[in-house]
Amino acid sequence: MSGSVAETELKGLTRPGAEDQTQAIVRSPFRDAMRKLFSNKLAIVGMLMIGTVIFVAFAAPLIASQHPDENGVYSVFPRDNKLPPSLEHIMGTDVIGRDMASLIIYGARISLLVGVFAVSLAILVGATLGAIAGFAGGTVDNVIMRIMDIMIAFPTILLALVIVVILGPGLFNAMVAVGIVSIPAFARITRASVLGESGKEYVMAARSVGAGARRVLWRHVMPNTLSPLIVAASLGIASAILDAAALGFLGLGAQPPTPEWGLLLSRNRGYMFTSPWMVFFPGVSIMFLVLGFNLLGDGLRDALDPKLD
Amino acid sequence: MTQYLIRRLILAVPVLIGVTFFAYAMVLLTGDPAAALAGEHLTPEIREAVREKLGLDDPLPVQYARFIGRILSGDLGTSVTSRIPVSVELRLFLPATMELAVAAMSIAIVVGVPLGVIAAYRHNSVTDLGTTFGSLVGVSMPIFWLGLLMLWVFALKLGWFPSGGRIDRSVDLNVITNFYIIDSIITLNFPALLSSLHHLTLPAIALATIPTAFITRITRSAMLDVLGENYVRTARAKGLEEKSVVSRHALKNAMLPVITVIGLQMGILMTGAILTETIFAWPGMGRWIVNAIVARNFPVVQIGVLVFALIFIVVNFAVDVSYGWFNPRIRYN
Repeated sequence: MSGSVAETELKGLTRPGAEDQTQAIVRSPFRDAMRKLFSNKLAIVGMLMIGTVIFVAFAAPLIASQHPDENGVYSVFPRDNKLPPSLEHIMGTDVIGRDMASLIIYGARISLLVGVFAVSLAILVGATLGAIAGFAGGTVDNVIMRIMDIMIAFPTILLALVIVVILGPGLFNAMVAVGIVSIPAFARITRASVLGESGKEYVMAARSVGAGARRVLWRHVMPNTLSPLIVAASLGIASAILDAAALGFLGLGAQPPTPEWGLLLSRNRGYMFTSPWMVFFPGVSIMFLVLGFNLLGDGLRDALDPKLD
Repeated sequence: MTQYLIRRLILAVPVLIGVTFFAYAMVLLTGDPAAALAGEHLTPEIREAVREKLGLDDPLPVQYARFIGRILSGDLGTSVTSRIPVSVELRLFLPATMELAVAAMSIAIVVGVPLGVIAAYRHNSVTDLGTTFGSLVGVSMPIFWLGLLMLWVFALKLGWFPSGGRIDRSVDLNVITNFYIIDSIITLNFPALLSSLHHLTLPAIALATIPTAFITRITRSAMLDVLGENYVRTARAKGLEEKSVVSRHALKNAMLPVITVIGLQMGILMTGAILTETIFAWPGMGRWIVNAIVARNFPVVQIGVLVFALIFIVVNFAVDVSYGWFNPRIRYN
């Protein structure tokens, strides 16, 4: 890498009037990371997969053949029930004759929303707690991190189940529950990187010119903890979507007629052996989106981790 | 070492208290136990009587102390739905889940570690890329969906495996420990061993997918780190066989992060067990607790959640302690 930069530099100097070449000399860590990310085949595949789902979610009214009414209810066509995949219904129809493809297209909106919402909640709370714990140290650190330890000791789905039972079943509460169970992971990651950054010279420099603790933490330390958080966010969205789908599957997440993928799968489960497409397509959709975020997260980790250079 | 163990145990105490407290208090938040107990016969008077009997109007710390006291004296309460003591049900369901979890983890280690080693050894090859992609697919699969697909293919279409349960009804087994594999071995009951292994296969493979993927990935990256080390070069330079270099010198040193992941995976495995047991009608803890949560069967939920958390804490404790064995350079101080 350094070799090629030196070469560019030389060329830029020897070839008169080549101002654009100087661009290559300026190396920002962000641009480096992006270049690395876009040279990672698997990460590009991941981005394409996520992009596809985002497109489908936004274009749902244009590409779906059946649409929910203003109350989110889909028309029922009992005579068309359990039709296998065909040109008219590329993913077949379900027990009450709804077009599976349309349900899955609208379901994309839900899964994306669940992933982004749950992880935003987890980052907001988790990163704040982790930053405070790492920066304050001592008793504050101990109290916060022991609470996180306790939360981690419970299997995520179990904790989410109990939270959903407390809050009541439903899509929004399921998103909150999945968000809450992801908090400890973000708290731990943020704390670790805040601890790592706090000892560095630039923090001392900021302090010595009289910056207050809060300014040092939020303006100087936190921006430098972003890389691990970005990676964790991408992977976190993946597991949040899976957890929410599992809640839907267990009947405690989204409620009918919401076309949430986990719920669709669970409602059609009884027909698995006679009409497998009703179970196959919702599951493939979940896997497609989750895999997209996992591939992206993996690529981001490779791109943002300076240790791998 | 002893000193470290003691310190580590002392550190675990607040977490233990927290976990038991949460297990108790959380469940009270899910609804009124009096209502759950009294069912449809609930009148204000009955409700008051039940609350009085359970001591639900006492301050939470008092209730918690009583809860712990009860557990320590061996009384885990009685299931609201089945009216069977929770301890009896636990003795039935916990071994089933542990059997499933141990089988899944064994599969994950036996498959994941070699895959990771090969991927690292052939770094950047097609094999490596395929393994990376495959393991990402593994962690991205909804386990309940995979389970259903496996049932459809291997139980229904091919008929190779049974679709649920732990053992054929027609097979007699003298149940001692409730670990069917162990029971059939100690009673030298070959048909029972065969039948329980037969029933265990599908759910164990389904449950093993995620840990296998994780173990493969972590083994790969740990091996990549280690293979570049000087002592590996030294081992090669002194003419050791490549097999010995990889397995004796590199792998043993790469095991530390792998062990950590195995410990952390236990929590994820328990989560997976809850879903796997639901799909494969496996009579274990996961199904037991999910049913109890839905039915507001609070004594079962309290104990079940507690047991899951305890397993997680114990496994991670064991992982911490095992570090020293894998890397003697780690000093416990």
